[in-house]
Amino acid sequence: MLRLRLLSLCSFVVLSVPLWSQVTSERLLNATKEPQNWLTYSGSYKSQRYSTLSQITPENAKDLTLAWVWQNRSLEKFEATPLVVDGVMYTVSPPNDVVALDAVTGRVFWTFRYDPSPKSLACCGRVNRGLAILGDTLYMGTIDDRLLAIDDKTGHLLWAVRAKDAAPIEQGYAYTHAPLVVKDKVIMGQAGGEYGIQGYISAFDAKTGAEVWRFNTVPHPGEPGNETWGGDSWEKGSASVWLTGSYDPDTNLTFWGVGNPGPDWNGDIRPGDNLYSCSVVALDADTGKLKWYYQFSPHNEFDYDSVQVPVLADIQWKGQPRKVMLWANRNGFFYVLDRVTGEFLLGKPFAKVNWADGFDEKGRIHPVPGKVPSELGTLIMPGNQGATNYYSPSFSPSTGLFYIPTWENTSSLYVKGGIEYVPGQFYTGGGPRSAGPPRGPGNSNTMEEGYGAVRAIDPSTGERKWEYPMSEVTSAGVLTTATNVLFSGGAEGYFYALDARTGALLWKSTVGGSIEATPITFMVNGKQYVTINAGNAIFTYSLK
Amino acid sequence: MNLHRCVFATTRDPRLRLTIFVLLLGSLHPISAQRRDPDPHNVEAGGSLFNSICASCHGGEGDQIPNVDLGHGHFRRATTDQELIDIIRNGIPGTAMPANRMSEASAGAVSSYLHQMAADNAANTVGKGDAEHGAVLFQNLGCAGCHRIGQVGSRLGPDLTNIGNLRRSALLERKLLDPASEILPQNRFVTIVTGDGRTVTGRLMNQDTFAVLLMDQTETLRSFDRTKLKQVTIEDKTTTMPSYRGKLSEQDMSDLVTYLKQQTGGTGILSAVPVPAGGSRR
Repeated sequence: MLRLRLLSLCSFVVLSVPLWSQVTSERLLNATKEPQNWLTYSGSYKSQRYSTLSQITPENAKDLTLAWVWQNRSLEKFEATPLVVDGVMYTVSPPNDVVALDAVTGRVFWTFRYDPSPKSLACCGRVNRGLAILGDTLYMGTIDDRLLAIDDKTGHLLWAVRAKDAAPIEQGYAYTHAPLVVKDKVIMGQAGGEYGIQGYISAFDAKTGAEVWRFNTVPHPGEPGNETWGGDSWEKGSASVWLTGSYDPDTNLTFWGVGNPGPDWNGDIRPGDNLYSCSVVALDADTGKLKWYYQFSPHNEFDYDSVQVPVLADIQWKGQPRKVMLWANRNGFFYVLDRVTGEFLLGKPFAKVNWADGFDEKGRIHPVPGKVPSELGTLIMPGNQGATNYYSPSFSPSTGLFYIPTWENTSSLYVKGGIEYVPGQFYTGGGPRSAGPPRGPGNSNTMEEGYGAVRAIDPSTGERKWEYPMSEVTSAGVLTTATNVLFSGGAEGYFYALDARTGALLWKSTVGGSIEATPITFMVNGKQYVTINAGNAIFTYSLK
Repeated sequence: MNLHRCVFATTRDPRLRLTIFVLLLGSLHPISAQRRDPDPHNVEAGGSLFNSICASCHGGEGDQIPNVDLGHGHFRRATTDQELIDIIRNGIPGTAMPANRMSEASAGAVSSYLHQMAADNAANTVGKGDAEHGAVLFQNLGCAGCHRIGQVGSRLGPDLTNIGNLRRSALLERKLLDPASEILPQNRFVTIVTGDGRTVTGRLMNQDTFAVLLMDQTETLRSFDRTKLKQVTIEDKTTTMPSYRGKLSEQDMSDLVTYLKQQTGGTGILSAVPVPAGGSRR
């Protein structure tokens, strides 16, 4: 009798949890087939930041209206891209609080609070770029270098792990990027590029958290590439990973951008190319073995982390279909690589550069002699933050164009300094200085002194098709849709829609705070929404 | 409950976290506070306060802070009830024990509860049973139909993964006999009737003037426009959990409670108790 009573209510749950509510790896593989959801950091494994939702068009974008706002309780930079699964939005309030919101109203279902160790170190803010999901489990990397598994219905912590024999976090190891789930594994890379870490990428079993493979982004002795580090410099080689990679199921390769070598601004102690710093690595998703790599900036001394989203596209290349990787690099060059073999197909500046002037026939970049850090400071373009950075570019199969959030006319004076390793302190060997006069309280800069822009590039030639300039630089990523609407923002506090074909402004909203993240779009009950972080809040819009 | 977690639970100020640390000065004094006869109303109110404010650091049994065993009348500093009340209200500067905003009367209720706890523990045999048999009972009674331990069982009812750290044995027994006694706000159910007459019952996650957010019977998170609902009923005094009064022998009860007391989270310091936004305040 008793058991029947129970069965009549709660046990019903055990029998009838709808399978459609689970995010299977099959759904992740086919994420573009459910454009109403946003299932991974970049939307899908090709990381195009592109949606086939078509309710918002260039004609009606002017009618976009605010649907809701949600404010976090953090003063850290709000860099996370949310996930949306069947009407529930999941995001991270920095550093590591997770919240589940009703995607239609922005009201909160639950909050998971996590207090990272006070010993955690981060060069550039205690930030987090988002979550991954598989089944009913959310995954988050924490600023104190743990991978957490969290129940998506209740916000309960399921488990928390560190990589096997992970070094103390006092040495600068941390997780800041959204994990990437591939099949039954959760892939995370170590941040800490300014602390002389030994960088690596780990894959963890999604159920248990056991680390199942590891790829050293600074190769250890005996591993190929270790010989590109003179002496023992590999031991503090950094080569961090702090942005979510991409995955190609056809080749079973997962692609990751790798950060600067350590020390950042003085390469004397690390003669050689310093693989795989400032590179893209293509790893077998099952084993972590390296299949190919391409190094964008060998032996770099300008902090040009190649930590950008690898964008995979299938385009016509010299009259033939080709599986490519499109990469707008922090170093100021736009690249096209063959994503199956790593072959270099194209390299062309997309912003002003003065440190390199071309490529050899194999695609190795040619630095300009004399453009190296010096005691008095050497003027290098682009500046230390690069011509672009972690915020997402977008590729639109609809227009065929590649869109780059760009910093133009920026430069830094690179000053070479002494090198001393102290655990937990910056291991950088000097640093960049601003090249221009100090800024005024308001923005009184000319365009020649630096500005931000969205640039549309034809990937088959590297030619710029149009530019939408802003008065200030930008840390906002780009989203495009099948109806040729492009969404982006900037540091000034505007969120806007452009015509992706021409760059014409369609609509803007004054969000009043810097946008340090990339927009997403989703649909619930037949209504399309666009969401962006600005300041310390999430803004969501839809048509009236 | 790990002290590290406890310190963080009390403050988010990073400087405070670095400096506040409970130093184990001296050895434990099993000094009993001067007893008063506990008023039953006070005990219940005090228990409520204890569970919602104190247990997150001191544990459900009051023994999770080193050298402090509140459940057996062992206090490190208080020698009288008034001193106990003062400590509850003012905290202990320089330690992890914070001040708590409550009246003299409320702190007195907590003190009464602590005395009752000590008396119960002295007499108590529940919690010293056979946990293995308790696990069998847990399964045979179908508890997972409403409750979850680890990753097994329903999410609708209160999660029992860490219940051993959060509740005293005597309280667990009381809940099994009288489930409607003391339903925590975050565990309340809500029943709504939609504009077109459908009834939905589920665990209340959050609510405000314009929205009701719940987890329904299929464990789906759902949000409703409150202004379009015909009826919203928050079940704060009733529960669908059946009573086991007369259905479990004393030994079975002891075994089941012992099993539950063993459920202590497994992730230690990293067991975060999720905070449902807003809570069920009405």
